[in-house]
Amino acid sequence: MNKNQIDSTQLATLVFTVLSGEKLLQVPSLLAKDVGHDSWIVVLCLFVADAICMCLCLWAVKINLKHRLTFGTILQKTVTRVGKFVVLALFFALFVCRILTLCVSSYKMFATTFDISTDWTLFVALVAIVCYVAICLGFNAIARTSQLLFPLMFLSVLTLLVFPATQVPISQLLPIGEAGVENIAKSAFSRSFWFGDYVVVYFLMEHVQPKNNKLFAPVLTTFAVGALLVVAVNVIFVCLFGSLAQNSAIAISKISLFSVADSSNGRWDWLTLSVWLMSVLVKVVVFFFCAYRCVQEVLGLHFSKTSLPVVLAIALPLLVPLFVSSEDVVAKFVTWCTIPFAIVLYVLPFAMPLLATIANKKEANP
Amino acid sequence: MNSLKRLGVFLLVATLLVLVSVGFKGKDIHDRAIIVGLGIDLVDDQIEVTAEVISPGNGSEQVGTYSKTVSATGKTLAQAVQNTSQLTGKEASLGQCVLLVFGEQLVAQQNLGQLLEFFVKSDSFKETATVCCCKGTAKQLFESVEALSGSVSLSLSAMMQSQAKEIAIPTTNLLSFARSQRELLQTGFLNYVETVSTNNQSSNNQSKPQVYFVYNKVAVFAKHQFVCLLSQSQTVGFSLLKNNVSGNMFVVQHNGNDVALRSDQKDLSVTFKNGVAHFSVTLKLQLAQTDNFGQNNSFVVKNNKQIPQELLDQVQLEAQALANDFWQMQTQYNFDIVGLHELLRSKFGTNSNLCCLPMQQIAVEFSISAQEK
Repeated sequence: MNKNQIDSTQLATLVFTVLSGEKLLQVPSLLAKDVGHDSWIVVLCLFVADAICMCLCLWAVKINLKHRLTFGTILQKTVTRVGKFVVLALFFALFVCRILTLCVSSYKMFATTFDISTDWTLFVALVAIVCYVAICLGFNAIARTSQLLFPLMFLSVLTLLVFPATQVPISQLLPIGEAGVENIAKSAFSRSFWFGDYVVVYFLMEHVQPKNNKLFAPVLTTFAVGALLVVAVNVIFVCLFGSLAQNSAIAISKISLFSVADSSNGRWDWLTLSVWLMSVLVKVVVFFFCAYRCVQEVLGLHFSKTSLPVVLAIALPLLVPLFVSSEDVVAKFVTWCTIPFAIVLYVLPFAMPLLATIANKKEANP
Repeated sequence: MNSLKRLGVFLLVATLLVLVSVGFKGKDIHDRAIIVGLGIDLVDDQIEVTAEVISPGNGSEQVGTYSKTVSATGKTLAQAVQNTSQLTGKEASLGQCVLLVFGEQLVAQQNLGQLLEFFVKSDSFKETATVCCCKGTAKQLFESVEALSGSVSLSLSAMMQSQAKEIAIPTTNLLSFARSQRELLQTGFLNYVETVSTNNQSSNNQSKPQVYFVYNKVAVFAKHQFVCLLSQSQTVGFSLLKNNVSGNMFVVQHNGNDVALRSDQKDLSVTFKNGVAHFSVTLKLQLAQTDNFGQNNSFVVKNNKQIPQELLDQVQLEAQALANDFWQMQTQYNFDIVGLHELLRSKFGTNSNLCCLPMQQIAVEFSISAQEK
């Protein structure tokens, strides 16, 4: 059996696991800074865009089922070798930036919430080792892990949200759209970097196997549930924290305080928070896998075994925080790359079904 | 996998485990001073911090009571907190702090902005911590012993977070107070805690004075500065116009006797129409009996028409007078702690005019009614 093969149910649980990540960490405060209490509208708009793009990608997967071409091969057969290089290089940069921000924010959250001082190099080394092992074992292992963790993570997020949700003064969201359509659209565009998690599908193009002939339904269902939870987190966060939301770096750890508001018997929210934090690790591993695949496709290499130098090359940028503020570096880089990233995230999917059709036809009639 | 490879993998994993255990420096509980309450005073232009620290490991020395206090001063709050660490030899851990008390002199002379920022910007400090100010110094408050439970922080915080809502006392927490000082009219309130001495003696803390806490007044702040102190009756008036606060008790006259009526529930709606804010309060009353004190006793057997209309009318008048008294104070000192500006914001959006709209310019109507539950 292909060690990277996954079925649609596994893809569905993976989409849920990957969906939250930094969207419950620093994104709510960034959006609150942009548009205040209208941040949930930005999140909703971006999720609608993600859902449309994901449907198009899944459509491309369906078209690609016959010949099972890789994403790189599809690009090479349609937009030439240069086009493939540019797209994959952009994806590589995107994944590395996302891995870096995920590591930094989860490290920060862990250190501040649990008061544990950790050596960054060792932390990165451990993450890289986990990723290396995961790539060795194949994507199926990652998908099965997320399948196993899915109920736990779902319950954890739900537990973290239920009690704070009862304390939310929902009138804080009024008037809806106060920030103005222009500001909301601007924020959605500039923060699109943090979304578009469906891109994982590109790198599983040839490995996804519909279960019981169902591909769209399970994936879209978990996506909708995950998106609703993320929107709920944003609503709760801005309603509870108001003008202070932009100063609260890690949203989920702040919200979790309200799940123990009436108790002076310890912080059991730390337990649910720790369980949820595993989804961030899964997300890092998934993006690491995708970055690895980018290198593989760009270099046109098919390693018989997992290449340690490639893993190290991906892990190397994670040492940036040792020298400079990674938040500043990523923020600057993302500002420069907003348009190219937006193109690969939100324009390319519209061409994917067509590209997959052309590439498959070329494969059938070389 | 041959045995040499297995051995190699085992050695690698063992090495990693050692590295991990060295690299993750979790702080042992013995190295931390777990602070459950923090008092802040102003002493000779310096900040004095009094921390109530959980003191584990006393074995048979103490039963039930387990905290000690430590005080330190500094030019800034951060320095004072650090100095408490020097005194205890342990790192001050604020993640479990449930109570923050500002002393009287500090409140009167100091802008609370910087102090609040210290806590609000902290990733570990709970925004849900109860925050209040007190008569005298916070140090005196922490150095007393609550007569029924022992720990000042835990008992005062529990009282203000759960019991207060049922005895008609509005309370606040760090987040609400910090928000109130920077949003819209930038006014908010803190509960004003006074201590009442008791003759009870504790076998555990004979050196400390035993007290009860009274927190039925609120102090009003604008832009982090103290504005005024509401009297007890004005605080009751405030509680009538505040959501999620009930338990008002009214004593009225009936056939020459005093009758106590308790309102466990109320319906409160605030609307804004034609330039007038309309508060509509319906108090749901019961005769105060032994089995309906302090709780929303929905299971108490209901007897129809126990309260004559004449008594309900008296309650209505009294409640109206209390609300008017509070409102007069609010207009006089130009503060908004009932959320009128927030209502206008949710209707018309945030703008600079709204943020500085004085209370005198907002027309208000009260409609307070009383009915039997």
